[in-house]
Amino acid sequence: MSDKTIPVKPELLDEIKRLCEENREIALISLCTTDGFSIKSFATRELSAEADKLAAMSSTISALSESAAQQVLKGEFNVTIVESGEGNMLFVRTSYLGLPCVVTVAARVNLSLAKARFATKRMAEVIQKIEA
Amino acid sequence: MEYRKLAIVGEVGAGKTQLVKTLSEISPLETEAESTIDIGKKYTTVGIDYGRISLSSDTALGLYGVPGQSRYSFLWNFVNTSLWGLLILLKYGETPDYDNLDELLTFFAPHEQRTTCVVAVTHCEDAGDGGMTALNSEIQALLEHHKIVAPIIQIDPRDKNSAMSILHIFNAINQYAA
Repeated sequence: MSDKTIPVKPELLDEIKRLCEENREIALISLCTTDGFSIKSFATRELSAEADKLAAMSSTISALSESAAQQVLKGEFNVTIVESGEGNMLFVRTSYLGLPCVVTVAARVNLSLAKARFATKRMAEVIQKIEA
Repeated sequence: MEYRKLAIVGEVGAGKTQLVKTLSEISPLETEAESTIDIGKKYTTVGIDYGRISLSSDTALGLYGVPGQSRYSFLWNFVNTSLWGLLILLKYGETPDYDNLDELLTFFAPHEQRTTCVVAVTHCEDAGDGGMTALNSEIQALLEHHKIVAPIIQIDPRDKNSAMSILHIFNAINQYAA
């Protein structure tokens, strides 16, 4: 476990709440550091996602995406999307209180990919602006 | 071309990434992130370090370095098939996390899978004989508990000859077992 506690600011909770209320098809939201420690996660009861495992997966996918983007496309990774028959998962890099982080959002198939992508990117931008 | 897999697993800072870098003939795939906690270095592996080395003209060995923390166990699943060898790295100078080592040995189950296993201790340049003997005894006891016969060696992941010696050991054991 992390040997320091990363504070969960009210603005972060507000943003998670806002996103869930605006998009009822969103089933999971997670914010973790890029080295795989969970800061805050929210999941509906139908999804069983252990916060530490989810954070580890998010950090891995984010790091692999970064490597692929740099080595193949010679650019920075922007969004990673995992599509499935049940819905989509999106991974976006951000920063929170100065720490490099990953936002992960899982949305049911009823929410279009474009909307899910817009919502996730917007959330990452809002989180980046939260002040210590 | 025949392809084989070596899984390199171990605790933070044990030298997995460096070992893949030292051994690999290709530019390795690295998945490191800046550490948000004090681990004695700036970056930590959060995905797979991948490299490749030729064992012969028609055999290549894939080098898969994976984090040892249990929250990354989904990556253990990913590499734990048809292994040519399992290399467990331990860092000297800190009390090893024996619970984690026990978990790794339970998961990879080299005795049941008939996977050749080697334990390598790193960062032991300044280790005294007494300290190494005590550590070896502890590791040996845990290996015996899992019915594993595996050499325990000291290596420097930065040194090509030292790193290559691991492959020679795996090769020798695999040839003897064949």
